[in-house]
Amino acid sequence: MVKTEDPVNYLPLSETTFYTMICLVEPMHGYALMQKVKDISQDTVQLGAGTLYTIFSTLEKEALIEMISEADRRKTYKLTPKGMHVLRLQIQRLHIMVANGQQVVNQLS
Amino acid sequence: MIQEIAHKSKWFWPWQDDKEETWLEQMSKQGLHLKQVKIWGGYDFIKAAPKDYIYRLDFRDSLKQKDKEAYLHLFTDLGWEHIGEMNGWQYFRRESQSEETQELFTDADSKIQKYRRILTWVGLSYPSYLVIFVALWSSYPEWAMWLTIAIILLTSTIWLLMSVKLWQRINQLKAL
Repeated sequence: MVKTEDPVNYLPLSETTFYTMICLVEPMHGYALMQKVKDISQDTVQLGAGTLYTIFSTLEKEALIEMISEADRRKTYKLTPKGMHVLRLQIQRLHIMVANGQQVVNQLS
Repeated sequence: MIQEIAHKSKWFWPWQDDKEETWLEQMSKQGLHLKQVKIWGGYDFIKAAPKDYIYRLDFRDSLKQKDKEAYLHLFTDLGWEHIGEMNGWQYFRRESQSEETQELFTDADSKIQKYRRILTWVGLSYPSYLVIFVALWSSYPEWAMWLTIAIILLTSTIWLLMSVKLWQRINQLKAL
């Protein structure tokens, strides 16, 4: 899965990838991340072990996250500047989506 | 105390992983808990009190040793016990009352990638077997020729069927 360097090509992020990246603005390992996502998404997003491993591998390959330490084979990751940029673009998209949704809701009520 | 072991053999096709998980769960409900898996559908069970376990299968055939350790560590961290490996299939289980998710895969993307890995493995392993088969061609006696052709036809059909089934499964997931 080689993508060109334009960050727009990584969009849209899936919900699970989005939440994983949101957490990685600070260094975090798998277990803490899974717990945090469950918490901040108000139980709407679950991360299974297989899914989390797949997301970590993909994001690392795409250089959106990087491993910053490995203690006892437990890897800790953090967002790269490129990852941060992609995340910002995704959040802009989400703003547009919410604004459009809100407009429709307002018209109906 | 000596553990009593029961051996069983059962065949599952690569697209029947859900079925295999359910079968292992039913065995545990009867007090037969998976101890290890052996090549081509051999299972060893420990006899003990019945228990509600959840069994889940992943497919990882090409992880380097170091990545494999990190992979297993992540699963263990998230509450899964790794029981063993059979031809790339990774067998995990956890107790069913635990609060965390009971699935290894919680989005379509990662589930699709799992079946892609299986399809790649099936796709690549059979032709390489076929190459060896054909390379030995000249060493067969003449009477064995027709038998060989029959075997190749049969295994090729099975291979094609497996590939189509896996491909269908991937497309089902894509449609979700």
